[in-house]
Amino acid sequence: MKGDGFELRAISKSYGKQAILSDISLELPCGRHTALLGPSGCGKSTILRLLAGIEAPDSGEIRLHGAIASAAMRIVIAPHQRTIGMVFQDLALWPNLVALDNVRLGRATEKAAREALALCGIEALAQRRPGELSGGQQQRVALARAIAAEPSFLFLDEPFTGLDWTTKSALLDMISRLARELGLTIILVSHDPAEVLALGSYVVVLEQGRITEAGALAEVLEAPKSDATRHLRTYAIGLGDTRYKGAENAET
Amino acid sequence: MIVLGNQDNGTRNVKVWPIRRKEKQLVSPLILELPGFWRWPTISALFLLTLVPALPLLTEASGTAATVAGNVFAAALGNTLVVAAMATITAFAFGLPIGVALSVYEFPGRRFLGSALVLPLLLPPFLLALGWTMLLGPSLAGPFGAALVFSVWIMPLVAFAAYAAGKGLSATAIEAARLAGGERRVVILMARYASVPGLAAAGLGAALSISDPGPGQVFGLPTAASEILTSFAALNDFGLAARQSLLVAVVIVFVAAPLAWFTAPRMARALMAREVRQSHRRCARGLLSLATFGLGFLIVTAVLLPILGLTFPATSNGAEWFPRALSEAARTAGNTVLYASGAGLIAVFLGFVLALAVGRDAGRQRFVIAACFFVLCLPPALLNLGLIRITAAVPAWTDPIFRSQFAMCLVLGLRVFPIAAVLALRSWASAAPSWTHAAALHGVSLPVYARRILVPHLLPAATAAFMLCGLLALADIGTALLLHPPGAASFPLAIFTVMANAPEALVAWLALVYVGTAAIFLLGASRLVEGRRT
Repeated sequence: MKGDGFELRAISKSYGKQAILSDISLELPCGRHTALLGPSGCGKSTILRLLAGIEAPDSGEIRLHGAIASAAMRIVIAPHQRTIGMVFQDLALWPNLVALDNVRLGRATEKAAREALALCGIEALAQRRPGELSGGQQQRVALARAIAAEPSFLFLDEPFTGLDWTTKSALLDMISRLARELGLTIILVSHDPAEVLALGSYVVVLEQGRITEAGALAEVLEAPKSDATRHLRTYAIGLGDTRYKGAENAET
Repeated sequence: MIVLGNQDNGTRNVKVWPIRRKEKQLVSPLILELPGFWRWPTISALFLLTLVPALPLLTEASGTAATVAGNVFAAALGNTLVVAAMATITAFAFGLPIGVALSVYEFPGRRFLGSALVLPLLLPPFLLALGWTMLLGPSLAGPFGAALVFSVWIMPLVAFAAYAAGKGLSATAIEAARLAGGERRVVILMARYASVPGLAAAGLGAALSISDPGPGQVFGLPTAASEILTSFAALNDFGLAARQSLLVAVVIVFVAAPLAWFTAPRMARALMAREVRQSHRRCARGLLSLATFGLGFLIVTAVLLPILGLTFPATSNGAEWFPRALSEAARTAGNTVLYASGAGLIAVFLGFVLALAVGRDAGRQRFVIAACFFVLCLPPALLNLGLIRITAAVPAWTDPIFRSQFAMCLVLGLRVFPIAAVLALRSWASAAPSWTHAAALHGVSLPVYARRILVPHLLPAATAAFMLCGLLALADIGTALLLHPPGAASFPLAIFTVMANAPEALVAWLALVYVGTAAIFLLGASRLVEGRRT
C-alpha cells in the first residue's frame, strides 16, 4: 500500500543554538529495514526520537501511513499510537520492576508479556529485576518489552553497545528471526558494521545533520560514497562470509 | 557485485498495524521531559512564597524614623560576624580533609566516625553549647565558645559536601591521579574538586549561625539574633526588631549572593552528575593511617565530648530529675512531632514540585541551586516577624491559620524547603530521561508512571528530605520562640526556655533525652531508607 510507513519531509531540529538536523527528507516504508549510519552527534538518534514522537521537529513534518504524525513544534499522533517498539541505547528498563512487569507495564497483557519473554528466551528470568540480570539478559528484556505490544516498527538505538561479540551475535540472530516471524520493520541506529550488515537492507548515512548517502545495502556496498559506507564495504569483504557471495571477487 | 544473503529478511509477511487512534487518550509522561511555559512561573511562585511573608517588614522598617541600630546592636552584629568567620574557617579547614578521607580511604572505625559526624546536625547548637559549658564551666564563655560550637555544627555540613563531591568522581579519575602522582596527587585532586561544594556548605553554615541565638545566649555573648529576640520580646519594639532583621539580612545577602553565584554551577554539576563507577576505598597505611587517626580523634573529641559533658550533671546526684525530663518530653512530644512532621511534609512537597518544574534544563538547575542557597541563608527572623505583622493585620477568623501550629509548620517548612529541593533535584536527575520516553512510547499514562516508577524511585530521597527537614526545623529555636502558640512549645523550645532557671541536672537530662530520641529516630529512619534502596 502506498504511503505505508514513515515519511520525513524537510525536517529540521536544533537544541539551543546547535542545529542537529537540517532539511532532512526520507522515506522509511514498512518492510524495508533501514540502518542509520554516521559519526557521533550527526543526528541519528534524534531522527529516531522524532519518528517515535518523543520530540517534535522545529520545522517540516513527519507522516505515518500518510497521516501527519508530527508537524513543526507539534506532536499530532502520540508516541504510543504509532505502533512502535523501541530498544533504547541505555535500555531504559525501570529498575524497581521485575522483568515481567517491565514488559507488562508497556501495555501488554500478562500472557503477551510472557510470550514475548519466551520469544526472547528469558521466560525463566521473569521475576528478576534489571539489576539482577547480565547485560545480554537486560537487552533481551528490553527487546521483549519492545515486541510485546505487537508493533509494526522496531527501533533500535545502538542497543548492543558494551556487549561482547558472542552475546551480540546471538542477539542479532534473534532479532533477525523475530523480525521475520513477527513481520517487524527495523530502523537501526548503529556505528557497528556487523549490526548494519546483519539487520539492515537499506542504508542512510548522516553527516552534520544532513543525509549524504542513501540506498539499498547492496548498492551502497557496490559504490560507496562516504567514509561510513567504505568502512562498511571493507568490513563486509573482510568477513569472508558465504552470505556475501560477491565478497571474494570484490576489490579491497 | 556484492550480493547479500539476508537482503530480503523481514520483507515477507510484513505486518502493518494501523495507527492506534482509537485507543483512549492518556496524559503522557512526556510532559515531565518536554519544555513547558509552566516551569518558570512555578519556580518563581515557589521562591516568592518563601519571601512574601517578609514583605510587610520592608514597609514597617522604612516607615519608622528611628536609627537602624544602636551601639549595642552594632557590637552584637560585630560579635556575630567574628563568630561566624571563625567557625567557617575552622569548619572548612577540618571538614574538607575529613570529607576527603571518608570518601577515598578505608580505615578502622570509618563507619562509626561517619555516623558520629552526623550527631551535631541532629542537635540544636544551643544543646552543644550546654554540653561544653557543663564540661568546661565558664572558661569557654565569649566568642571562642560560640565559635567552637558553630565549628562543630558546621563541620559535618562541609565534610558531607566534600564526601558527596568525592563520590561523584569516577574510579578512573582517581586511578589516573594515583598513577600520575600517588596518594599525594589523589588527595590534592579530591581536595580541589571538593573545595567548592565544601566552601558553599561552610558559607551556608555561617549564614545559619548568624541567625541562631542559642550558643550566644548560653555563653553570655550578645549576638544579632539574640538582640532581635530581645527587641521583639523584651522591649516590645517590633519596628526595631524588623530593622535589625533587615540589617542582618543585608549583611548575609552581601556575602551569600556572590557565594551562591560563584558556587552554583559547580554545585549543579556535582549534584546532577549521573551515576559513575566509584572507586574502591583504599586502606590507609603509614602516614595516612596517622592522619586518619588524627581526624578520627578530632571527630570524637569535637562531637562526643559535649554530649559527654551533658551526662556529668545528669548522672552525678541528678538521677531524680530523669522522670521529670521524661514527663516534659512526653508533654511536648505531640507538638514536637507535629512541628517536625508538618514542616517536613511541607518542605518535601514544595521541594519535589520545584524539582519537577526545574526538570533537566542545566540553566534552570543552576539558577534554582543558587536561589535555594540564597533563600536558606536569609535569617528566619525576616519570615517570622513578617508573619507576625500579617497576623496582626488580618481578621480574627483567620487565627486558626495564622496563630496556630499550622502557621509554625508552614513557616518552618518554607524555611527548610530548599534542602528538600536540592535532594529532590539530585534524585530527579538520577532518573534517566529514557525511562519517561519508554513509558510514553509504550502507552504508560502519567498517573501509572508516577505510581509505579517515579514515586518508588524518589521515595528514598523524599524520606531522607523529610527526616532532615524535620530535624532542622526543630533546631530552629528562633522561629519557635517567635511563633509558637501559647502552650504549644516543642521539646527543644521547652529546654531552651527553662535552661536559664532550671537546675543544671534537669537541663542535662532534658538535653540527653532529646539527643537519645533524635539518634534513635535517625537510626530507624536510615535503616528504612537503606531497606528501600536495596
